[in-house]
Amino acid sequence: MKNKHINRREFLCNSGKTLAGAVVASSGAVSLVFPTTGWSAQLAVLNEHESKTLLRMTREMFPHDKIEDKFYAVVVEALDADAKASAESATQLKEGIANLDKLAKGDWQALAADKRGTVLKQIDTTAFFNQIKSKCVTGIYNNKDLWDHFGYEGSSAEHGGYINRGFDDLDWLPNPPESDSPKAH
Amino acid sequence: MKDNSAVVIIGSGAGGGTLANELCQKGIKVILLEAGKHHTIADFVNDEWPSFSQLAWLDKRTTSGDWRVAKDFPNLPAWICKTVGGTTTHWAGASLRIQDHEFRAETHYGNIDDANLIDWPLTLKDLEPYYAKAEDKMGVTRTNGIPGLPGNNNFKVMHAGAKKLGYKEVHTGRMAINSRPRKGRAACQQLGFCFQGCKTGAKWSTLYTEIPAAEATGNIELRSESHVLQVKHDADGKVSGILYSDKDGNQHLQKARIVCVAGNSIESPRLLLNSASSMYPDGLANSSGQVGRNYMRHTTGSVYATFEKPVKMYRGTTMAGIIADENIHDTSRGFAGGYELETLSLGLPFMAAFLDPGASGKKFSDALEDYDHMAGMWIVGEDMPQEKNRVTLHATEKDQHGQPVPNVHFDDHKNDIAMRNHAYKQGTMVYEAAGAKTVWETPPYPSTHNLGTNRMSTKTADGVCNGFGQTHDIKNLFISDGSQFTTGAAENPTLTIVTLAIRQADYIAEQMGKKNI
Repeated sequence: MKNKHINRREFLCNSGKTLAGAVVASSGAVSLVFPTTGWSAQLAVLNEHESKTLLRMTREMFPHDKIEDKFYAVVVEALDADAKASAESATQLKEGIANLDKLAKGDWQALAADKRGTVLKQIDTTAFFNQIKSKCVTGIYNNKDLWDHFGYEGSSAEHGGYINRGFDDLDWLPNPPESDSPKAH
Repeated sequence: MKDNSAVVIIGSGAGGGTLANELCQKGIKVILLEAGKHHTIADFVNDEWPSFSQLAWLDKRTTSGDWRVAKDFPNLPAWICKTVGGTTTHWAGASLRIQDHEFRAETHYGNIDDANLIDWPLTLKDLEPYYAKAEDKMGVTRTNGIPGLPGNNNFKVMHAGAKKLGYKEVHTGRMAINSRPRKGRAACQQLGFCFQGCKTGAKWSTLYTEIPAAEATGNIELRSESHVLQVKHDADGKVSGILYSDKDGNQHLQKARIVCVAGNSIESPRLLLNSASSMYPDGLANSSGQVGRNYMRHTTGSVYATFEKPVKMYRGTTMAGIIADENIHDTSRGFAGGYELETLSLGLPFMAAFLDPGASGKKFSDALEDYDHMAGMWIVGEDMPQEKNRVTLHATEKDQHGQPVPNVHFDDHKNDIAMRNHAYKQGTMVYEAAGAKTVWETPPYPSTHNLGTNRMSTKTADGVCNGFGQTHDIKNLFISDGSQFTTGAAENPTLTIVTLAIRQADYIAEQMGKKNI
């Protein structure tokens, strides 16, 4: 079963107030803080505005309403780690965000949702966009903490596979005849 | 084995691993070199990205051409393996015989513009006894009295849709995956991780069948983490040995009576090209100029669909499901040759990477949100050999050994495109007949079926080797992998690679006995 319970964080997220609470700047250092989940990370390179922009961007690029901001923040943390490891990567991120704001004629995040999408469309072939996209593909869908949400069960060998755990439990279509699909031995 | 008495085989996958065992069983000494590490079943992981890092061939390669792989995965033309057992660790197990008409593609398909079609220098009749040996060796279901595998959820969806559409030949396939214990290997436990190395050993792989059997004879020396750099020849032009780099980067010369190249259709021609000498300035066995050309990768693609109710396609044997009706030559469909539709699933991490590479946005997210309500199938069809589709040496890029990396160029032939579009349409109709909500036509993945770059031919000008894989130019140099395929046919190639290896072993033993080589 999918684990899609509604909690306070999700309520905040859906009400659009989450971002302010997720990125915390204090004496120059920026942290991603999610008190309800006990998860936080201190960023090395990205500033508060950049972090918030990336958090918003990752969600808009791969929108899953029921997934908490924390999981998108994990991607932002990974992007920050890339920026720390590579000056080229840092420049691409910072310039990409500046360009996004320039196209938005101000703070891209402050635009209405449809306008944000229009601006994103303008940059969706850039190396900056691709950098974030690649990080999301692994950061979101290869995050084991999210597999339950998507209904993916991961490794099965240690559970004896699915031979006795529903490899053929689909019951909303007729079963094929044994000539086409013999019984398991 | 430092002298020149041994047969040196390069690559331990379906071709090389099988050939090694067959020769060892005849008492012939073999040195088997494998570029990858020697993993065991215990090392395999049910986790897509870590498994990919463990098993895949990740040395640098480049791409060109109009195929989408060149845009989305420019340094990953192929998803094949660098490990003892080669791509038999990763393959899905589908084991189909090539059909009689496919062996005679030029005769049956006629003159197709821009296609470099010829007939194979052998027929189905020549191969039938060897196919039978291969099926028994590998334990192919629905042969030798071995029952078919039980269908999983993904197959149920395929079957229901296909039957509504009127397809007749729809079943759980001929699979080299045990439906019950056989020859020391367990029965399939429906793990759902066939691509990541089979954790139960139910799926045939040379890693734990052919290679240990060869080792038991005492006639083999397996050298893993040994990357062959060049095949060497003597003043008479016969091959005399190979130069390889061990895991520490130290280079060694190994003498050989015979050299058999089985490094897959990218590395095998690359090795012959990298072995160019003053006597063979265009590379070994390349008087025809065909080494590296006619690269084929099957006309593939996938169809995924989401449904109202759960499917959980990832549970169970990945490819135990086939619709075989379209695997005929019927040009009224608008193309030559045929294709199969086979069940396929990817785990969530790879689905995100491959469903629509480079995509983002709500439509894409919504599809993944429905991941456990998704069914999937793979298209496997015959693609046309084209001279311009080829493996070449990169002009400037070098690998970790200082050798030019291979570039893989591929342009779709118009026959390939027509076939793929037909298959997309039929696959879509299958899923719509089963009640699909949305359908995705997924572009081809990096190639697992790499074929044709050292092809067999009757005339020496048309190809690289004869019907036994013996090169036209150098009688003690053999091609022992899928690169010897004259045409691609529509069938998953492993069974035929194994079949050709068994037959080649008989030929090599006979020729050695006659002192011809």
